[in-house]
Amino acid sequence: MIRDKLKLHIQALLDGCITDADLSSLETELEQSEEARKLYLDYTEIHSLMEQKASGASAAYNVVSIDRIISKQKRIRIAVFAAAAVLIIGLVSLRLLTVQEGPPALVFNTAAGSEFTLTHDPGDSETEGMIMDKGSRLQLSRGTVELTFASGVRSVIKAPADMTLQEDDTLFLNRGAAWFDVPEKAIGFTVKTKDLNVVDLGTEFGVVSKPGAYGEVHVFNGKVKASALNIRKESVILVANEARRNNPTGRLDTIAVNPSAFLKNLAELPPYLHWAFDEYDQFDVKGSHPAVDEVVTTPISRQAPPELVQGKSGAALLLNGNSQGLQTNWAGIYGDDRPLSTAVWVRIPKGADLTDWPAIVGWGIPMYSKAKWKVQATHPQNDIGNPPVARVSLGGHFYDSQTRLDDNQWHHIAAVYHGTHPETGEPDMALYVDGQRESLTHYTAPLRHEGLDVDEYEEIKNSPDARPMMIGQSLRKSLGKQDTTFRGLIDELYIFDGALSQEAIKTLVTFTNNPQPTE
Amino acid sequence: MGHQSNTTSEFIKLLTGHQSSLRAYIVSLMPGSDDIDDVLQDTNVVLWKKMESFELGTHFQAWAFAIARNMVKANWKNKKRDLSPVLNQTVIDAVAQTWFQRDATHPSAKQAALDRCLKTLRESERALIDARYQSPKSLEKHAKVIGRSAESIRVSLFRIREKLRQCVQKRMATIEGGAA
Repeated sequence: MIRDKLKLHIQALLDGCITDADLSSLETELEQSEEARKLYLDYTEIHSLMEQKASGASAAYNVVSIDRIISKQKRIRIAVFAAAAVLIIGLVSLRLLTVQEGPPALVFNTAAGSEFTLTHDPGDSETEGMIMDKGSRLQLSRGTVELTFASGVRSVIKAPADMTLQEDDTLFLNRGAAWFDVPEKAIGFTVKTKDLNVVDLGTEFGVVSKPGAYGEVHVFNGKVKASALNIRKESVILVANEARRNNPTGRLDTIAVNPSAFLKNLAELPPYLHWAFDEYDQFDVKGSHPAVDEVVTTPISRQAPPELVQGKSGAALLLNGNSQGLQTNWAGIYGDDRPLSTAVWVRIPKGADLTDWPAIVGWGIPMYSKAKWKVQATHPQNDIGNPPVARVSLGGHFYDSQTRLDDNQWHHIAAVYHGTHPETGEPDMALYVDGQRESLTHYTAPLRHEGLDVDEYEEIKNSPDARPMMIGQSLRKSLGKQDTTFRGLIDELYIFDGALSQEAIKTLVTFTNNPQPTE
Repeated sequence: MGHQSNTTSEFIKLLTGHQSSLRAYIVSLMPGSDDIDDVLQDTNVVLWKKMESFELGTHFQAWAFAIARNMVKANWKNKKRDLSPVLNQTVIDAVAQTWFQRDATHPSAKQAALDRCLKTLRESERALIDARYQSPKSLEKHAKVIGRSAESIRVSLFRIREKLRQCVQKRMATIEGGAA
């Protein structure tokens, strides 16, 4: 057999897609040639190592990424392998047959899309699931986590964060902004950072620990005892609305209490699609919306697909105005009173030309009543002399915000359609820039069709004139024209099948505001 | 107690140290099967139970592979829907035999070599190989995203895996040469 053909057949066998004829020919070769068998084993080893690597389970290390394991529980085959890894860890610790006694010290939950790694103490072989015991370390690279201690203490911590449960009632916060609510029965609960020791005296408080910065404590209710751990080791009792930051001499400087630095709840969000544009995901979509498995996102220009560069959170989509948008096979969300929301980070260079209405995201047929959704950054009146602002449009209704966007800084834009306003009969729309609700300027344009019913929406959705959801591209027929593509960066795009509250938007802004250094 | 504990520790080291090669061995006997990790798990349990019968200083891999081979056979027997192996028995015997004729290298060294080799891939190659090993579905999605046919993806994967194989081989030769 020609060697290349042998290699092809071996790979097809490992991929489970070999034909009967090729299998027969391969079997003959493997039976007769030791060299062929050695080649087969070389490929087998690489294939197996790659599978192990992809499963995230390595018996060689006492680290189990629980989010990976949980995601695999839907697939029995791999869950068993995860269990195998846990078994081996158990063997290493010589505690295979011991049984965990009593409830766990801490259980945790994460917001959708969070990413974390959980590492247990080398002597702990039993802890499985979203549970921490003494010595467990949780590193949160993205999202938000809610901790519930056995003592009743509740905490919400946003990424990036790194924490270790030192004792049942002591958390070491190496990094993160953490909010704590401590019930009376848990008085004495302690949070430690590299330079602070915070003992609860019955309260609600927050602790900030950042690399290269001194620790902070903010008290919202009740009181805490805060102690510096360096040089002077100042110790103070703080009450509601007081905050301190440690300094290089170990004195605790007074600072303004800042509740907005902390989250108190995990965000409850409607079904969503999420394009993170991170290097690993590329243009893939994730999320809780039922359409997630069907949506495929592709570059409009295969010759010049958009680049991924350093973004607001991980990588971002860089569009330079030259037909670099993305298109999907998803029709979008339609319906007269069906609420929806879009949220996205954008960064627009100074002096960018955004005339001719390139969308940040949109779908449908322009100028059809409520059969088009589009969020864009645009020059009002399409006049480049007017600084670009955020605009959302639904059919022939256009709403412009006020905040200038072309300052080469990241801005978060959220557009929310609540349905038809009961009094005006017009769309009830809201635009938020950087989490703040904007006052809107409303324009209308003549429509081709008014008052479509649900069946007609279905018809429009499936019409060849309707644009599927597009990113960074105009919805007009001049698709692909050089001047109809967005210029700037787009990151962390969400489409929600429902209306977001301002609180949820603020949470989302915090949740996705996660700059990471480029490797 | 001390002696028993040391023996157990040694056994655990051997068992954990051979996981990758044990799995690869099982893959080679039942390529393309969905049951690889079930069989590996069953094999681990039997090895653990039979720890007492293993004599330290003897050939652990040969002993573990023999048990794995039995577990593979048991899997075929228990699978009513798929009674026969993909490869014929003569080939499986020959493949099993070849494992013992190969130079034994430490699996973690091979894993490290593979990790280094993965870093030498171009971004598009890495994306393709990642897509392949995440799930078949993501490979299909990836094919659509980059606008290529399944056949052309298969050819690219073939080239990338060949590149990885050669790279790993070269690195292992360097390690072995350095150790000699």
